[in-house]
Amino acid sequence: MPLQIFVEDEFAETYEVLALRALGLPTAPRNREAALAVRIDVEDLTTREGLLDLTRRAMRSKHETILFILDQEGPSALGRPQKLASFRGAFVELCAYLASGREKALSNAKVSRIVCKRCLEGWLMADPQAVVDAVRGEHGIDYSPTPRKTEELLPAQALEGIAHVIRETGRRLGRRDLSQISSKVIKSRGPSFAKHVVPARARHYNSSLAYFYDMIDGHRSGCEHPCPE
Amino acid sequence: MNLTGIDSLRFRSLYDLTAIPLKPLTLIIGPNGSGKSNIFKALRFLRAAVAGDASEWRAYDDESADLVWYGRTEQSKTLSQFRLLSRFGGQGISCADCAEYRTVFDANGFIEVFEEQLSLRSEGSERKLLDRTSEETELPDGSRIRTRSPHALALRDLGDSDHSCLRAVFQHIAGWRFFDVDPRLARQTSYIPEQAPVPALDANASNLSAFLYALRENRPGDLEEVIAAMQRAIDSHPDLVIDHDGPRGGRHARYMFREAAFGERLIPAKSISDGTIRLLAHMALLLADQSVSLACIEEPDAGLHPRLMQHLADSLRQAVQLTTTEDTERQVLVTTHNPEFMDCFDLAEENEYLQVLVTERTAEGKTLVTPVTAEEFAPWLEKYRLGEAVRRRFL
Repeated sequence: MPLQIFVEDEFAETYEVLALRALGLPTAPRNREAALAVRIDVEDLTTREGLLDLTRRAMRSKHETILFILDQEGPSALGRPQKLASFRGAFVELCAYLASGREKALSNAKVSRIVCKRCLEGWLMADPQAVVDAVRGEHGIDYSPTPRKTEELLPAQALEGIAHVIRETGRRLGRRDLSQISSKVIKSRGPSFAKHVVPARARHYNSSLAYFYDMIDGHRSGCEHPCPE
Repeated sequence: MNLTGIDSLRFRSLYDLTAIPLKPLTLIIGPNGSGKSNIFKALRFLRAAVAGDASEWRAYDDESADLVWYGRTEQSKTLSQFRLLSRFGGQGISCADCAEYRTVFDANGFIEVFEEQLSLRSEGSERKLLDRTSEETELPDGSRIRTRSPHALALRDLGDSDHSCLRAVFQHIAGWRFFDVDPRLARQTSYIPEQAPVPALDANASNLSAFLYALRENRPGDLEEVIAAMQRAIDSHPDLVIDHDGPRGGRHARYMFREAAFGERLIPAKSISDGTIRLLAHMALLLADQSVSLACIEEPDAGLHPRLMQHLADSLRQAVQLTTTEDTERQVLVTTHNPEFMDCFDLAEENEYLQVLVTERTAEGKTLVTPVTAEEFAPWLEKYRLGEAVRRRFL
C-alpha cells in the first residue's frame, strides 16, 4: 500500500529510506509510488485542517498509508511542547473526523501520528552498526559498536554519537578524513546510514522507531493504536 | 510548425518513451543523471543525421555503442538498434493534423539507417511522404530515388524538395540548436563572417561578439531589444558598445559595457562577470537569433542571481512568440535544477505555451518522463509552486 510520510525535517529522504528498508524494497532510485517522504511546515501538522488537507491530497495522489512525523526536538526548541500538544490534539480530531465517515474518499486512509524521539539522528543511532556499514563500504573491519537506548538522546548527543562511530571506523580503516570528522558535517549523510539500518535490530533501541515500523505496513491505523507518549 | 512530441526506443536511457509532449516552451526538471540531457542528445543526434555537417555525423560512429541503452534484453543480449520518432504539428503541414518522422538506426560499430518514414496523419488516415527501404526511397509523387548510402538519411537530400511538407520538416530539424554557453569563449573577440548577414550564434556563444556586431549592422532593432532586456535585468543598466577592427584591416568584433558609474571609461568583456556574460548570450540567442527553430538550453539559470530569474523567464516567454527566418514559430527546451527559476513559471501557463516535464530513473536505468499535469502531482501543485514542490520532494 503506497506510503506517504510528512515530516518537518529538511532531510525527509532519510525517513523514506528507513521506510523502504522496512518494506523490503530497494532504496534507490526513488520509488515515489511505494514510499514518498516530503517536507511540510510544522503549522500543517498542528491543526486539524492542516492534517486533513494533507490527508486529502495524499489520498488523491494514491497514497493511503499516511504518517505524520514530528521530532520531539525541533529547530525551534522554544515552544516545542506546545507544538507537540497541538499535534496530538489535531490528530485526535482528524481521527474523529475520519471515523465519522463524512468523506467517502477518505474511508481507506490509514493515518498515524509519530513523535520521533528525540530526533532523526536518535533513530539512526538505534543501529550504530548501520553507520559502520555505510562508512566501511567494501572494507571488512573488526568494529561493532554496542547499541544503546537512544530515545533520550538530544540532537547534539545523537549527532556526536554518530560522529564518534564514524571516527572509530575511520581510524580502523586508516582514513584520516573520517577519523577527524566533526558532528557538524554529517547531517546530509542520513540517507546513506538509513540504507544500512536493519529494522529488526534498530527497533529494540528506540520505541518511537519501533512504532514507526509497526505503522508503515499499512495494516494498522494510528487512530486505533496511538503513538506511545 | 512545431515539434509537438518525440518518441524514443532504446536511445541511451530513453528506453521506451512514447509521445513525450513538447510545447513552444518546455521545461525539463529532474535529478542529476535522470536523463534530462539525453532528451537533448536524442534531438542533437537526429539533427546531425538530417542536417549536420559530414564530420559531425561521422563522429557518431565512434560513439555508436554509447547511443544504445546500456542494459540487456531478457535473453541477456546487448542491443544495437534504436528508434527516434519526432512529431510535428501546427502551421506548415498542409492537409494533415501532424507529420511523423520515424527513424530506426543500427549501431554496430558505426551508424546505419535501418528504417526511415515521413507520414502525414489526419483523422485516422495516414499518407506516407517518404518511405525508405535499403535500396531506394519512395517520394510523395510516387517517384523513387536510389539510397545514396546506408549511413545517410534520405531526408538529408530533400531540404530543397518541391514538396512543402518535406521541406518544412527538413528546415525545422536543421534549425534545432543546442546551447551551453561558455563565458570564457563568449568574451573573446570573434571573426565577422562575410557570407551570412547575421551568423547563427555558436553553441558555446564563442562568436557572441561577431553576432552582436552583425545585429548592429543588419538588425539594429533586435540589438536594441537585447540591450533593453539586459538593462532591465542588471542593476547598473549597462549599455553595450560594439567595436570592430575593420579600420585596422581586420575582421574581428568585440563588445564592452558602458556604465554610468564609470563615465566614458568602457568595461571590456574580460572584466564582465560570468553570470552577466551568460545572461547576455542567452538574451541574444532568445531575442535575436532567427536561425533557430528549436533551442535546447542546458541550465540557462546557472550563475544567475535569484532576482534575475524572472528576467530570464520573461525572455524565454518572449522568444517563443517570435518567428524564425523561415516564418516558423520558435520553440525552446530548457533543463533546470533551480527551484527559484522553476517558481518563475505559473502552471496556468500550461494551458497555453508551457509544458513542464519531470524526469526520473528506474532501477533498471530507464528514464521516465512525466508531465507535471499528471494526476499524481495535482494535489501538491495546487498547494505549492513548482520550485517549492521540488524542494519539498513532492516532485
